[in-house]
Amino acid sequence: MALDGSFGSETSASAGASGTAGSALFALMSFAFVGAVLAAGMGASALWGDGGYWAVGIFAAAAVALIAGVRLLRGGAAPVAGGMCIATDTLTGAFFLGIPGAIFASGHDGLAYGLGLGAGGLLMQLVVAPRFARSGAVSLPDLIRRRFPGRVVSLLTLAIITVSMTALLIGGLTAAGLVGMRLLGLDFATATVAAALGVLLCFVVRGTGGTATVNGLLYALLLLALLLPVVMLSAQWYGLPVPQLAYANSLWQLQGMEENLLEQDLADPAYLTPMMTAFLSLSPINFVGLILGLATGVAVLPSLLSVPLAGTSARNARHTALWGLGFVVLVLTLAPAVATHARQAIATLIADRTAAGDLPAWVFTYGKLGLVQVCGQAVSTASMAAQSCAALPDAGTALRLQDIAVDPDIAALALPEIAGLNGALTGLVAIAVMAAVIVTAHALLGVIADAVGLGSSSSAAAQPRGLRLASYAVAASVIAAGTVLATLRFGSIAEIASWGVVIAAAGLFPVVVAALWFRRANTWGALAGMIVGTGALAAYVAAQHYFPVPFFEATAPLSRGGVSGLEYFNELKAAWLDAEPGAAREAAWEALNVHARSVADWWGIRGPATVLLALPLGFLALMIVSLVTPRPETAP
Amino acid sequence: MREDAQTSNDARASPRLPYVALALWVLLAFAVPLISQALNLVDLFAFPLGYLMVAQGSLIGFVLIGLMSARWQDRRDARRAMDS
Repeated sequence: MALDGSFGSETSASAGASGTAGSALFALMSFAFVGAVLAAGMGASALWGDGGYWAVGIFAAAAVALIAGVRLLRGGAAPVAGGMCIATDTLTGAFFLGIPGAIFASGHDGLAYGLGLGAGGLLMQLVVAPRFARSGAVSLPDLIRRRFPGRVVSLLTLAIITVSMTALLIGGLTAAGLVGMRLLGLDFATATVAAALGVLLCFVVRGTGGTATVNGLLYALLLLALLLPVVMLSAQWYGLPVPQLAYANSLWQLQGMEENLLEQDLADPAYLTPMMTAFLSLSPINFVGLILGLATGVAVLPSLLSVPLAGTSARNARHTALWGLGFVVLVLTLAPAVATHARQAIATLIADRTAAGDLPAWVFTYGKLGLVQVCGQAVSTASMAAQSCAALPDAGTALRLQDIAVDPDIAALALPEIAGLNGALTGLVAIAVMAAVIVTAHALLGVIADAVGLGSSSSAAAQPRGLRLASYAVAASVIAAGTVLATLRFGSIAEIASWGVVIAAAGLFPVVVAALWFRRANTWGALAGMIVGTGALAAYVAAQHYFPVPFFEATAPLSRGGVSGLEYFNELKAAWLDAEPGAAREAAWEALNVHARSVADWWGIRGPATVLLALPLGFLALMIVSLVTPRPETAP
Repeated sequence: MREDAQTSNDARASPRLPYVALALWVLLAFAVPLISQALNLVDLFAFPLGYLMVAQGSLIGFVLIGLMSARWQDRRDARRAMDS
């Protein structure tokens, strides 16, 4: 109560909270310091004697810890520690590997992921965090239970949270699986199962409650792991240890090299995704839609709306969210540099006319695991690579850019090796990813257990035995489902994880905003908002994928396929109707289906960008139903 | 008495929607990426401006908006606390 509203007592009130936060921060600072010193010694000895640049690079990481320390001494530690926790839980192991991977794979259009997460951090700070903190709710399911009481609403919340959190868990387990492959030399499925066991073990040890602020400790490790390689490369290649600025050189060099390779016929234009050319793989509307989906999803992400933001003052919540945003942005601005450096190192191999037999060792380290393919084959030795390339039908004398295919999701992990830095740096990234996946999965599972009604407010020890066992059962089944789905690898990490965020956006954003800002909203409205929001998302995506032909026929005027798309559709349809029953008819149907899938959309909206339809519909349904049904009994 | 004063104070200090900050949020998150090709005509720090904004500029902008908005709201809350 003292935390709420009164400002004179702010410092004294947060002094209680800073007991745990303070010790956490001390641990963090020593941790960052040890890491920096270790890496400094290792790097300085292994790379180059000129320690000047190096010290400046470390400064960036140390500054974070230092600011945290200064804040700590002034007694305002809680927002910083909470911010670190939010940053870790936003990035998770999944986005930490997935975002550099997306930029590595699709150049400019991959930037939408980082932009979406950052925009979500700000939206949370402006719209959600302050009032959420004042609402007295301890978690998102709790907020909805208090504001919109009713069994059906609770069940629907549980369903949305479970699907959304499971998708994020799949992304995390995929990342952990890739890391496990590299570190342990296992195959992907085994490595994923091993990571899943780690997640379960961590959940059992910590229980559903516990201090989530401890997650913030990992932030320093995440930052350091991404920062060290790019700072070293920036200093080494361009003499400027600020990767966010220095990688401009890398961008232009890469661009020049790629243009040269195209001219010399050493790169396939269909394969090449220039870093600075916008909207090659995503149309503008899908780019913006993805940003909106990620932003609104992160703003209400159930795994974030918990301990550091709950039960504090609006002011404290605002500053906690702000620190979280700042920390997330610090990591996100490094992602394009990571992707660019990795691509530049690979393009240099091609531009130097490296022969297939002379490829560097990292190609075979990852080739053995099937994560790098040379000339379409996973190769583990130089002679195998030479054979594989000689066997190509259009084998030339030189390797082409598309002949070295790196799994984009390992770009951040493998960058130190790709760029010829000390391999221990890859170890650092691997440690950071593994730790982040295991620790942040705790927040994902905890909020599901909370939504089931197994409580997150009480600490593990205070919980009755039955409830605790039940929460383990819930966690175990979610982990099992997530593991099975993760081993299928049906998309890149960034894609899978962002689906999780987008489902939270479509289902929960209108409801949470209404719970906090719209007094007139009632349970019926909330129900309508959730059903329409998730329903629109699911129906549109499913119709586009599974029933493209009827979907296109019904809504052809809205399609971006245009007149030519419609004409071609009619041609194919006539061909299908005329075709003889049997194989020919099936082939004609297949051709019709494929074409319909490419034109069956409204205004060109596809995939996660469907929130552009789902969010307005969800808000509209929520408002209309709330206004035509009776006023809610309990005022917010 | 004290309880009542506390509650009314709370109601007044209740956070409001920061409209200006939200407008800037829309601008940086959605408008800037859409016009990035036009912005690319200008160079900043050796980057084409449009690319720079999408890769890093907007993100740093978000932090600045958050910072300004938090300060502004803190000041307003403090003023209200003094008035009451």
